[in-house]
Amino acid sequence: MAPPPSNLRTTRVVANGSPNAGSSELVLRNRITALVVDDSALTRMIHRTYLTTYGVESYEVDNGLEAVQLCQSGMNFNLILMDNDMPFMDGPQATRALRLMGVQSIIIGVTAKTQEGEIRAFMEAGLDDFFKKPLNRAKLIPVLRTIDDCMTNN
Amino acid sequence: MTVLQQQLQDLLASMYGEGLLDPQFEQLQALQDENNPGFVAEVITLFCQDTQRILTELTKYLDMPVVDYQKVDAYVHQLKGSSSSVGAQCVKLACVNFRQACEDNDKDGCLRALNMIKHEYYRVTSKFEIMLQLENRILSYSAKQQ
Repeated sequence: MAPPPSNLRTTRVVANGSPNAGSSELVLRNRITALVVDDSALTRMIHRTYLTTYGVESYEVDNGLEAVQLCQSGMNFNLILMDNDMPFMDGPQATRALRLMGVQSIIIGVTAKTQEGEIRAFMEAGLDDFFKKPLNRAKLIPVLRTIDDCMTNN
Repeated sequence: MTVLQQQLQDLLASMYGEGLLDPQFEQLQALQDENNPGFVAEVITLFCQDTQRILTELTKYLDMPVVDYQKVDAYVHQLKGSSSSVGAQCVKLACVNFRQACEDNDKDGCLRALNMIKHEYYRVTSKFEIMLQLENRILSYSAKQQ
């Protein structure tokens, strides 16, 4: 994987390998990378902490445009957690751009939006799935397990 | 030590009982461990900073002669997201009423909803403050014992 370009404010957080309460529920066999895309520092910290709990190597950016630029720079992620409303480029726009670029990551929309039309529009932009905020273990574990199984079987 | 822990447990029980918190907060507590001891405190600090910023913006926008309800709704949406992420149920529910008033372009309803959000926010943060003080006392007591 190429390093992130220096002009992007990404944060890389790698799990230190010490188990905590959550990690016993899921032991990953593969090195999974994830990108958290959200304009809220609070949400980024919570999502990143969930991911690192399971040993996922996590990066974060605070808008869709930075996510697109990061992938254009050559970085690949197994999982992208994408917010809906963000400055510069929102979640549906960024998802559409990523799919047009050929990005094959699992992209999950994570938003507080509840209106069916908004959710459908986000899904049609190219999401694999959609989670209503807040994210929690019950939602995240099956996704990580699926990615891990796919990586093992390939 | 056990007295402090009991006080902390009682405080949390009262917060759940009064509807200030929902089970999402337990999920966050479970993410805190010896490698990440200040996680809950960091989450609460960020939530408070975020909420104060949003409340300032909402007050400013609702004070204008012509209210931009779309802008107001976008801020309330942000607050709904962050309050649900930390499990601050009372704030989240107040946001739902606020969004309805925005949808109806109802300025008086928005002002009432803003006051309700402020009230719920101060209720939950005053308890969060006590909670963090108790956690600090428990931690420093444990450190002295080692």
